Amino acid sequence: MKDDMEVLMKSIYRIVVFFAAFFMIGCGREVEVPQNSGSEVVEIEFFNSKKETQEIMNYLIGEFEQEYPNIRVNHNTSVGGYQTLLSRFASNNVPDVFIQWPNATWRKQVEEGFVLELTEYEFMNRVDPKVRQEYQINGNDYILPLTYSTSGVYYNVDIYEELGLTIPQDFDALINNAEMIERAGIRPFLFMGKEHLSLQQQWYALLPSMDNYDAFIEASIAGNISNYKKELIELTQQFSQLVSYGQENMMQTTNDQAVYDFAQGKSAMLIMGSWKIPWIKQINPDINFAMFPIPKQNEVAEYVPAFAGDFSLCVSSRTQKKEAALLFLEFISRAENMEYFCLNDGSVPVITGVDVYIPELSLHKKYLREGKYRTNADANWSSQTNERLAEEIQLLLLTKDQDRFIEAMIQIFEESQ
Amino acid sequence: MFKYIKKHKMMKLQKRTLTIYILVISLPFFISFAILTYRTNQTIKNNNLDYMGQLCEQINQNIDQTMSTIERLAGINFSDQRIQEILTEAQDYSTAEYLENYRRIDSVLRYSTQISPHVLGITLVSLHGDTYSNIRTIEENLTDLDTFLQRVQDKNGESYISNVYTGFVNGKQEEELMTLTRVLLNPNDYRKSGYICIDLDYKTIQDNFDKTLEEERLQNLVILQGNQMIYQSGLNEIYFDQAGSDYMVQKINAQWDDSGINHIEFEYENNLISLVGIENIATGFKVILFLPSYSMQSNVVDNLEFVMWTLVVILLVTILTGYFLSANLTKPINQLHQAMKRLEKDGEFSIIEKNVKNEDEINMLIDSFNSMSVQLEESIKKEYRILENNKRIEIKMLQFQINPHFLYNTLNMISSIASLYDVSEISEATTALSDMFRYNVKGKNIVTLKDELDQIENYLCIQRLRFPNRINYSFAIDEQMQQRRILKFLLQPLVENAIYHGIEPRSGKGSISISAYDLNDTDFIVVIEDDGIGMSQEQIEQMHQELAYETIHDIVDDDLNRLGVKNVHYRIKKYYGKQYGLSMKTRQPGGLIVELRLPRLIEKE
Repeated sequence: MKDDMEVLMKSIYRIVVFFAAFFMIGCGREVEVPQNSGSEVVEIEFFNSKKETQEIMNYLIGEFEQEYPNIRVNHNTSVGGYQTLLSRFASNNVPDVFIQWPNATWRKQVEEGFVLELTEYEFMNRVDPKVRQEYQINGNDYILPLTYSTSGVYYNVDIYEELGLTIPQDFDALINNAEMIERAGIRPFLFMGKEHLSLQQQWYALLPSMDNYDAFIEASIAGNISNYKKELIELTQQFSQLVSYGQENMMQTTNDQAVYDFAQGKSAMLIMGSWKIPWIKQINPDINFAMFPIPKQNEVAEYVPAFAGDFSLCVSSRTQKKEAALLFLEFISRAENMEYFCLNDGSVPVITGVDVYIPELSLHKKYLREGKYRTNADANWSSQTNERLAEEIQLLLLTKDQDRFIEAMIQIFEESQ
Repeated sequence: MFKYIKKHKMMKLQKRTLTIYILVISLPFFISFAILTYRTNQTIKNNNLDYMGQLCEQINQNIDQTMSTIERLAGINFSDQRIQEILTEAQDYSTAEYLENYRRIDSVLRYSTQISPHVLGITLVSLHGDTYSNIRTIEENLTDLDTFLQRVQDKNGESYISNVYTGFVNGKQEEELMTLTRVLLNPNDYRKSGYICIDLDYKTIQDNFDKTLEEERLQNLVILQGNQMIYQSGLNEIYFDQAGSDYMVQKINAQWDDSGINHIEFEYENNLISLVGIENIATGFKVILFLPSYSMQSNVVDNLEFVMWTLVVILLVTILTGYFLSANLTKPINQLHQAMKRLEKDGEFSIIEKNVKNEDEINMLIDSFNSMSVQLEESIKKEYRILENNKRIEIKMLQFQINPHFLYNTLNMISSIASLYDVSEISEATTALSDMFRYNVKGKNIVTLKDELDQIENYLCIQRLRFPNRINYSFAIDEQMQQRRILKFLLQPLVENAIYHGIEPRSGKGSISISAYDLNDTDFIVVIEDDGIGMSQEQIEQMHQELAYETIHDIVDDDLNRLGVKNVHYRIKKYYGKQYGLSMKTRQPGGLIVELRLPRLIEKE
């Protein structure tokens, strides 16, 4: 009789525990720790095409492996890694976890079913809801965006102060500053003429300052930008004006060389993305520099160009090690880990509840927090379109032929359809 | 030692057997074990060194293969005709054609770099000094190239691989690099078109070493280049710090021989380090696998532990078996020993129970002992009886030992005096007695039946004086039979027996008759018959049993009645043979018949 009671009580207890567990799961799906028999180690490949984050990620991977001793992360970085990543997709050999920019290429990968859906996982709730919504496809998540990158003008604070210059409030003021700097015998700007894709980044930084930017982007996606000729002419003239304050041998200058020279104080300004901040500090720890947004023709910048998800993680839908891969995403997106990442990468976190103070970025950060940013233009265009555009920008730098450049642009977008 | 040997000699058989057994088993065991240990030690060391040598060769080949693969794959795209032209042309940087050329080379550089994980980047240097690179992206990074180009020119067409050095990758991160530089030749005319410098990520090469070690389940690999230790595996049993690695490099370089595989030994932190090394010609890597002495010993111990335990178990089983075997063997011997001791000490005859399962020598010995015991016991009893009988006979004989001549003369004198005084009974008696003495003393052992009958008359004459009117007698023996020869004094004891045991116990007169007849051609029978009280059937059977003894000495104490009768029987048997002798039977209506069977012994006379 007593035994029967015990069996009954045990059964009731089990049912209660089962339902309790069931309702707890209902709140948001936790990632389960893979249960391995014995000491079998699960290895996942993390393909990192942002080589500049290699050391930061090495540290975080170390922490992760310490927390999950039976998971090993094979951290794969290589020069020109993004091209390798694309070829891995083509050969149906997608890494378990990979860095992907939420751009047109990524959307194509999602459509083709290469990317695992992440909607139901609890860690997705950590992402700034606005950003999360922006990248949802049919209301579902396929990417974990972690940081913002932004672009603008790096300026050497010491030179500015020395010459009594202030942050320009309109485009003329910027040109005026450049003029003052050149007269002081200092190079105002550096352009990366040798590498068309880097030069293109400098050009993109200027785009959000054009009038009717949003409409232009929509038109570009539709393939007809001929209605925006006026704005394009103005933009091209501005770009050419800035280039005229650039170095003489800009066709010989690589991205790295330009950043290196700026860090060494060889130029007062450099149009560049925020991702180079840590590197500049590494090259010259004494440099006193900061960033300001490129102003519009007659006023301060309305938006800054930004890319929510400059560092974003995706999981292959075909991975055999889904649990381990998801645990990795959960770990990296934790507030403390994102704080470490952004401090060392010089980026602004997309994860809510994380605040990182990067003095060089304080102006931009304000824009980002207020939502005054426009996603980098290239995110809207295919890599082929971007590649062709980059070549034309490089040609513009060499030939200074603005009319040809605008015609070429119109044609590229027409042909992109 | 002597004490021990002495002690050993005094040991019991079981202990001794067991000791010898254990010694015989364990001595070869320990000697073999010692030899085995020594030989295993040597073999394992040699095997280890051989194996390490093979692995060094393999790692060396892997390095060569990796380098040549990198060189081939990374360089293959640059034999493109257009690229060769770009390299050999002088560039005008102000033309769109330059951009196109640059982008063409840039994309080839990008793809070529992706071919191998070891390749960090590639730099092309044209004959005009133009550089195209996806790694040396700032001018400051190009300085090393001059040295490499100079070196490769000295190498006369061969590739030059630099030492591992720290350099900037993309102007930013400090990385450990190796640079492989070679001349680019135009595939059409084999003229020099420029140089290719392939920057290798030394970390990935280290990872390769790590992987090789993991796959081969190896450890203790170090790589030296010049005076630097550029790699030591995290799995190594010994970590060499800066001072340690300097010491090792110094020791190795001092003993290094450039040809083939090197075997070097040196002391490091109280350990003997044995190492095997080979130099990779292309990279200048000294690939070294080492083994500390304690690791080797633990290898040996690991190998021997199983053998040792197996042997110990075998030894234990053998000793146990030996113990039971020796116990089994010595138990009957001990029993035998105890029985002999009892026999020796107490004269106790005991029969040992033997193990019926075995019919071995020990059991045969026990059988022999048991039967010996029985026989000895019987023989001793018999001896004892003989001795006793002899004594009795001796005493009786002594009682009779009075000088017969003295008696004979005395009797003659008494007879003369009795005649003189006319006492006829005395005269008759003494004359009869005197005749008997004379018959006894004189004459031969073999007499005629008549002689015997005469002596019976003498004897009866005396007895009739003793028992007046009680004894009648008659002889029914013809002349011929009276001449039969017989042993002296055969009949007298029988007549005496008839008087004392037959007639005297009864009342009234009794009679004795003696007759004889030939039984056949060889034997004759003498019959002594009386009408006394006779013997019961049991008594007759008892008498016949006693008469069946071999000799008179076998007769036990109680059987000494009618000794004279028995004596007659044994004398006959002894003199004539077993088939002759005396027999008794009851006479009807009363009395006893004694028959003597005798041979007719005329010829013997």
